[in-house]
Order: sequence, then C-alpha cells, then structure tokens
Amino acid sequence: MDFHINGRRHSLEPQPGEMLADLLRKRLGLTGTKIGCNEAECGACTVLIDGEPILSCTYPAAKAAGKQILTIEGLANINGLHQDQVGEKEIPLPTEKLHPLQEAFILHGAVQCGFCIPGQLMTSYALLLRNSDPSEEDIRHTLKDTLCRCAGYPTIIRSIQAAAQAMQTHEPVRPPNIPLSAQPEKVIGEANNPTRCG
Amino acid sequence: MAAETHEIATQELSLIKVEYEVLPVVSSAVQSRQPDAPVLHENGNLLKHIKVRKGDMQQGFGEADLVLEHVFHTASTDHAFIEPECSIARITDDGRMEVYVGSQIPYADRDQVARALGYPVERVRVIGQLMGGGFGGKEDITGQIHAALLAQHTGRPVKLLFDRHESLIVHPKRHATRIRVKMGARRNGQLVAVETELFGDTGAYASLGEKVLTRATTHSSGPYEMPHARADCYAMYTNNPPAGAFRGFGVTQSAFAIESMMDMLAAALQMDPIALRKKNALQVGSVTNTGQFLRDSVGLLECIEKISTELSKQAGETPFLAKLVPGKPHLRRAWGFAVAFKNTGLGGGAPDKAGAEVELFADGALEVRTSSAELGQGLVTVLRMIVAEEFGVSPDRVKVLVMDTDRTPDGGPTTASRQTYVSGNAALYAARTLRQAIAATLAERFDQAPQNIRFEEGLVHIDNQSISLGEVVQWMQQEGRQPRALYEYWAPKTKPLGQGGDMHFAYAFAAQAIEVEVNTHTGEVQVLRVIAANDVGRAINPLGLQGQVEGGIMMGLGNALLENFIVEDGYIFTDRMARYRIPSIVHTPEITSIIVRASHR
Repeated sequence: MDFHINGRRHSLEPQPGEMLADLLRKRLGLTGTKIGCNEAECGACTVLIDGEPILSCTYPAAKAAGKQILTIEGLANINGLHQDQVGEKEIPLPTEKLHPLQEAFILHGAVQCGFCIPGQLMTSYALLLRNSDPSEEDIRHTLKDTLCRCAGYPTIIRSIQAAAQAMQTHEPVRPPNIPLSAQPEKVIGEANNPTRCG
Repeated sequence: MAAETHEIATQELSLIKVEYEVLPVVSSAVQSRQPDAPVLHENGNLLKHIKVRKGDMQQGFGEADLVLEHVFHTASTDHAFIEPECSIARITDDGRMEVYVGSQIPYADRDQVARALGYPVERVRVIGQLMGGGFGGKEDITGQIHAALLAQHTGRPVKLLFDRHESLIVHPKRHATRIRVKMGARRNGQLVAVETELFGDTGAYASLGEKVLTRATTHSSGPYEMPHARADCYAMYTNNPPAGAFRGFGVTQSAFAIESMMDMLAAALQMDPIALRKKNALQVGSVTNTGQFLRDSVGLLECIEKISTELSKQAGETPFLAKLVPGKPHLRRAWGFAVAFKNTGLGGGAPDKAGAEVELFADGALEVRTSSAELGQGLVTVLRMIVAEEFGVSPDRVKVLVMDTDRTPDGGPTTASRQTYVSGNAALYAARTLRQAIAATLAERFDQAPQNIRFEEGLVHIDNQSISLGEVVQWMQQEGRQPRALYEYWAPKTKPLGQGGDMHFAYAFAAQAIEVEVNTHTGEVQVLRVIAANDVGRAINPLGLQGQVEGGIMMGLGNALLENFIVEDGYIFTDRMARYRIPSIVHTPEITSIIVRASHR
C-alpha cells in the first residue's frame, strides 16, 4: 500500500493484524509516537490522518492506505504550512525550528516526564487546524481523552492558548508569567555576587 | 518465556499449563491481623508493629473537654505512569552486562542484577533512561533481573516491556489503610491528645512497606502541637499485590484521616476550621510526636495565612457554608480547608548522601554528573541551574548526565523528595570546588589574590583581563590538575524512630483550600477551585515547582474522587486503563499556587 508520512511517500505492505503505531515505531523507526496502554484509553499514540486525530495503537495499519499521516516527527517541519498543503508538496528537510505549539509547551513548562506529550501536541495541533482561536472549553473538550499522569493540564491549557496567539499574531510565543529563577535579586545585582571567588 | 517476537512469546505462553491449589485468601490488613487468619509467611502476617509514644494518654484525654473518635479508610491506588516498565539487557563484547531501564535507583539495580547473575558489581552497568513517570512506582526492581538473566543464558539482547495489564498487576501499589483516630481537645480548640491505630495492607511481599507505614504513623498526629500522642501501626501481609512507595509515601493516608478529624472537631466545637489549625500548628520551637524539636524553617503558619487571605478574596467571609447554585437547585457549592506536612529525605537514621561530579571542557561547556534519576520532576533542570549560577554561565552551557552507573557517581535513591536537596547540594559543592581550583590556577598564573577573580557570563575576569572559561582547561592540565571535581554531600544526621531528636532533617509544609460542587441527586463531586500554599524551602526553579504542585493537586484529586485499585479475593479487577480511571483535563480545577519560603537560620 502507498501512504504519506510527514509529507513523504512510503510503499509498505501491512502485516496481518498490524496496528499503525507498531508500523510507525517498529518498521519505520518513528518512535516519537508512544504507546501507553495499547487499548485506546490514554491518547499517547495520537497521530493525524488526513488532519483528524486518531489513536494509532488500535488503528489497523492497512486502513492507512492512501492516507496522509502526520506524526510528532513531522510537526516541527510543518511549521507555517496548512494541512491542505501537506499532501501536495514534499515537506522541507528538518529546519530545527519547532512548531509554536512545541515552543509553547517547552516555554510554559508543560512537559514533565514528557511521555504523553507527542499525543498532547498532535491532538492540540488537530484542534488548531480547525479552530485557530480555541476557548479553554474547546481545549478541555478536545484533550479530554489524552491523559497526562504528571497532570500538566493547567500548563497544557496555557501553552495551547499561547501558541494559538503566536500563530495568529506571528509574534514569538508569549512566556509564562512566572520568574525563571527564584533568585531575581541576583539577576538585578542586589545580592552578594555569588560568582565571586574567595 | 523469551522469543524472537512478542507474538511468538505470547503464543508459547498459552501452551504452558499451570495447576494451582486454591488456598483461603487474606484480602485486608484487618483480616490479616485476626488470630484465625491464614498464615502467609514463616514469621507470620505482621511485617512490623510501628509505635509512636509521647506524653501520657490518660492525662491527655483527662484534660480534654471533648473527645471524638472515628475510623477512616483509604483505598489502594496505582501510579499509572503513562510509560509502562521496560528493561533491555545485553552482553557487551568484553563480557559485561548492560541494562537499559527507567529506574529511580540505578545503583541499587546494579547491585541486585549483579547478585542475581553471580557477577561482581563492576561487571554490570545500569544505564538509566528518562522515565515516562515514576511517582515511586519505579523504585522496586521489576524486569531488570529477568531481562539480564535471559541475556546471560541466551547470549543475546533481551527486551522486556510490560504491557499495561502487566504493569497494573505487577508493581507495588499505594497502601490501603484503615485508620482509627481518637482526638481530644479543650473547649477553646487547643488539642491535648491524639491516639491513632493504623492497619496498612502491604500485600504479599514487604517492598518498602515498613518505611511507608512508618511515615504514615509518625505523621498521624498531623502537623500539630500535640502534648500527648500515641500511634500504633500494624503493617500486615495479605494476598494483595505488594504495596510500596507512591508519591506521599504513607503520609497521604494519615493526612486524610487526621484532617477529616480536624474538620469534625471544628464542627463539634463550632469553630472556624482555619482558626482551629492555626491555633495548633507546628511552629519554630514545637516538639513533634516523635520528640523532634523544630529549630527553624517551619512555614505552616505562613501557608495558612496566605490561604486565609486568598480565600477571603475568592470566597468571601463564609467560604465553608454550602451555597446554592442559581438555576440549579440540585447543586451545592462550598469550600474546604486542610493542612499537611511531609518529611524531606530518608530520615530515621539512614545515611543520606549523594555524589556529583562537575567537569569543565575546553570549549567552555560544563557537565554535571550524578546517578540521581529524572522521572519528570525536573532534577536535570535544577542541577543545570545550580551549576550555571555557581559559574556565572548561561544554563545552556551546562550539560547534565544522570543515571549511569559507569559514568556518574552514586546519587542514592530518587525518593523522599530528596534529590533537589542532596544531589543539588552535591552539584553545588562540586561546582564550587572546581571553581576554587580554577581560581587557584589563575591566581598563580596572574599573581593575583583569588578574591580578585570574578566568574561572569562565561568569562573569568582577573586583573583587567577577561579569559574564556575553556582556555583555563589547558592551563590546569599543564599544571597536572584535572578540570573536574567530585563531591559527596551528606545530609544532616537523623535518628531512628523511638530515640527522639531529629527523625528528619527537614519537613515541607502545606495548606490548601478547595471549592467543590456536589450534585445532590447523583452524589457526583466536582472540584472547581484550588488554592495551594507550599513551604518547600528555596524554590530553585519556580516554573518547574508550579508544575509539581499542580500535578500533585491533580493526583490528590484522583485519589480522593476517582481512583480505586480493586482486588476481589486476590483477583485484580482494575487490570486495564479502562477500569482504572485517572484524572483527565476535564477534572482540572482553577489552581492558585503560592510558594512560601520559611525563614531559615
């Protein structure tokens, strides 16, 4: 069967009973897609098929024939492109430039252990594709089945809002309203200089 | 069963026939304590009877105007980290065993794997992998030994990955408890005595049961001045899955019991629940139920104050009275309040130390190395920030290597809220030692006093010259000095339970107010708002700390409202994610997090 992953065409025959997550991880080495439960309960394995989020752990690989698949590995590269452009041209080589969602997740501290984050990002990305200015309710509804045991949920909400804003305004992602160090007095030079030797 | 593929292994397993003799099942700690209970281990069903004694109970309850007694139960829960356990073992060309695993204690894994294989420890290398969540559930060894044994026997690499079902049935759980609390107070709300009796279900094997239930016992008088206290805990074996370490480590259970009792007491005394806590809160100068004199850094009152102020802002003057929700007559809303404390570090007389090594490279980059584990709590960032600050460089100039028994010094177990403190201090002192060695080299070379040397923005300033940090490396090597420093940090000594004195070198304190909405038709409870104040000492990384506080709140919310690890007559019912529900984004309340830093000597 033929299909596209992150803009690249692949020809690969599905094995009997093979799920998409296993095809991606074991045969293509795309291990960014995580398997948390393998029973469609946790959402870690979420990828996009033709722009819609699906749970790849229970999605038969054979059903992917002719489809456009987007995984976490393709999210940084897709920066700035709209979904309808994805199939029509080859995605450029990795640019090292993260997607605003990825930047926002890092900047806002939404990543604790990180294992669920590919699923959170892909689900959020699918949301932003159809709703560029989601309300908090929209975010909660869309991510309701994508579990995070570190429970970075509040920061995930803030990250998605910050990314959406950055994409609309074409401004850099707005940082969180929290000091990056507990020692502002050192930054402003009011503390004893800790780096002076002696 | 090992095979080329998971599918083959699964098929082969189905060919094995096992016959079991079904014996009577012991399914609770209370049942296990009965004289006629089936005996599970050679030495009986009692793992440990843990005791706390302070003052005179007869006198204490004699001074009370009011005595309340109630029995509380807490359920067993599962860590449900999203990444299940995985171990990969392989034999290297020179005949050593390498184990790749997400583990909270790499050096302990090395010892256990080596012993199981009959190897000296040097022949085993554990290379820790960043964990997809741990929460205490990756402290006990799981598949490391099995994978290594299979690799030893086959000579081939072996991967042992638990599926969710295996993960849920195998690793140790949070202890289910039954806690009886008898509490006495004067009419003005002053606590005079508390007696607790705890039954903890430690399951089929000990795991860390004794330690977990010791924390439950010593924290069972709450963070209060308590002149007379007595606690008896029975850590019991049962036929349930083993119970061990899980975020909160036993304190969660006793905090629930004692704080519920405080609310009952406030109601009986017709007293404000915040005022009752404030009146009895531990403070500098207090003596705990284990006889520890608190010399400094007790931020409980400040936490209570902060919550009190924020609560009046958010909830007005009568937060604890149930209120109607306009247009929805079946709903009621009200706030609740509770406080807590929790030890930092291993305590109880256990040696508590961590090693760290800091090295400077010729390109001016630094590296800090320790075997301490990263499980999502943010240790790597904290170590990076500490070393960067010490050298006056940007954090991105500091590399961090953790969890490798060949390449990193032993940081001890990543448990007990200890690593920012112990490994953080080890990294700090290692960095400081290296900085002093660099300064000594420069002082000699430029004939200047070390005090005239400044480290700033990746440069060293001396005698009106600015030298890049990397340049110093070759000067040090020319002098025969290594551009690295190793430091072993020892936490202050503690004493075993029963001996008085410092059972723990520090405690963290917290207060919380929570608004809930109850559906009086269905009993459904929704948490709407949370205000949390935590005294954690100095917050190195406030953003990371906020994530920990929010995550902890969500996990607590799951414990209180959603989660219940169900075992019926020895059979696990909650053996799939679909049956063990953890909080989702829809359960997330509005959280206000306040960081308190208590004054320190």
